[in-house]
Amino acid sequence: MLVRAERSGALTTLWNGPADAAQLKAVSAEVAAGRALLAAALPATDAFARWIETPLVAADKALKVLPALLDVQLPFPLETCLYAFSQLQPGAAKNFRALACAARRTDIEARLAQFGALGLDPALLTHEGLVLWRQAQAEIPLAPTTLRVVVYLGDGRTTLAVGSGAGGGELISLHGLRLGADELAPADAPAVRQWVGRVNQLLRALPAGAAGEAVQWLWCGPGAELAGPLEAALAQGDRVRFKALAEPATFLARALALAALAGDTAGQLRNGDLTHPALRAHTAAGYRRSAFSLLGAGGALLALGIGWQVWLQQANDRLQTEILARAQELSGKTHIQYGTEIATVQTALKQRAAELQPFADALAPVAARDLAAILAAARTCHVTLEALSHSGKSLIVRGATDDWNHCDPLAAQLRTLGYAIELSREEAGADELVRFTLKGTRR
Amino acid sequence: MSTPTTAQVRLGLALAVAAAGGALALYTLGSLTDDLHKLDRKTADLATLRRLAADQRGSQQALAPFEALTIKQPPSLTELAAKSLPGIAPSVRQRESLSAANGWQARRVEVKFDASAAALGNFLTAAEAARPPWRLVEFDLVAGVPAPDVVRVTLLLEALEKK
Repeated sequence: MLVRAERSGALTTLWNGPADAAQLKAVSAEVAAGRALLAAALPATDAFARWIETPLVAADKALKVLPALLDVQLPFPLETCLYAFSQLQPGAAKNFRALACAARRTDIEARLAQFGALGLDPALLTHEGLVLWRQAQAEIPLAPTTLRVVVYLGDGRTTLAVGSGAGGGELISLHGLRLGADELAPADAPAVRQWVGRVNQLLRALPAGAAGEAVQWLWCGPGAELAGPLEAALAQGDRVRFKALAEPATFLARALALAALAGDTAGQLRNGDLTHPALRAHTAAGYRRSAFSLLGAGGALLALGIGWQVWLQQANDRLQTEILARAQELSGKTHIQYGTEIATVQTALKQRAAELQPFADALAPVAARDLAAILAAARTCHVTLEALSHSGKSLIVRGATDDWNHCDPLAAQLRTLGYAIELSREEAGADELVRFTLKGTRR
Repeated sequence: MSTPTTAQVRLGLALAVAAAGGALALYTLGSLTDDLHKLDRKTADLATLRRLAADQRGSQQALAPFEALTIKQPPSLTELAAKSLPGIAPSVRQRESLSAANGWQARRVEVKFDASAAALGNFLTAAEAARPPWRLVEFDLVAGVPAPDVVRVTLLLEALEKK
């Protein structure tokens, strides 16, 4: 049985029944060319599945103790098995639980050898019960109050996947019987009774909560058309429903193909040292890509960081060099302490300004200008000057005038020269002259 | 402990480089504000120095006419007085000297004499026209002493000189 699933969504049954050598060769060639991935199932009769409850509430710690807890559950040493954990989830007591799938290495190797004999080398070897359950969930949603039993009737085996809608469609258990279509085909009544008896025994062992729910039986597998006698023997009341899944013969192959295409590797037991070289190479390539991406990102960050630091240092150095050069030029000092450039220059320039002041003063002789202006103003205002004194910023003008008001325009003239003027006048004496004093301070 | 595989070593190395890059990026981002402030401060310092240099160049321009003089010592005031104040013998007294830029000195001289206002004007004009010029710094004039048309003059003059 071989089904091809493509990312485009196309599903093609390549063959349903024994394949000839040419078909097998074509498939092998396509897989070898890397254009397809081969996924196969490990029968439930050769595998083991259990929910493992850990007492731990931290996921990372729970993951570490899962193998030890699985070891206790397994009927054979863990070292002789390959196993996979999936669906790690918080349990009712906030602890973590996971679905463990395991199989003996010898069974896996034997299964691979069976494929090898056909010239096939599946990259994925998945617990068939898990893919059956998931595909049934995908194709027919499960009602919350229903117990579902997916039954795969294979040629020489039966696989049962039991789950409940109460937990959102959670798988409860997976079982395998070494009793299948080959044994049931002759409508042999003892085989049917044996099958029904074994199945009922398994269902009775289910947790107490699942007992009261309506039961939905979903048939698939090459022996699905043989379900009639089984349904008759299983039917117990009106809360039991039977249904065949679409295209039941190819259901398992379809489930495997679609799971592989979706990257769903839950229950994948070809792992560890038996991992398919293509997957190992794919993983290694993933590591390489991650490593190169990290290296690239890290390198880019380093380059940017170092580049920025170098640019910053150079910019600082360039500015500092120019600052120092200008400070040395302006201050005339060769040794200037770092950070004191401005203060040093300001101190030097202040001293320099004092030394240059006489040159500026010489080009703008204020006292001579004021003297000439005062003499001219006195003439204009008809004022006789008796004494005139100028020292520093102060000016004293004493004089006389025949009119009380004549000294006002003189005071006004002095103000225009930039002096703050204080005017004092005396009443006219015997000579009928008004004597005045103008005291000025340069603003 | 098992020997790490090549892929693990490669990934570890890449992680180390990424961690170093990340750490450097964090450090750079963390110090970015300070670094930019530091650059801004230096740029502002440089602008201040450029402004001070421009001011300095302006002040230096006052020096140029003096440096251009062939004779860098002012004429004697006694000689100037002899030319501009005929018949008057002023009293000339050296006062303080102040050091100025580029080896120049500002020398101050006190001059006293009695003269008419017009003669005073002539003297001051001659003093200012001298090269280097004599600049009037302070003055004290009293009119009518010792005669009605005479002014008793006390002047403080300053000239720049370079020996």
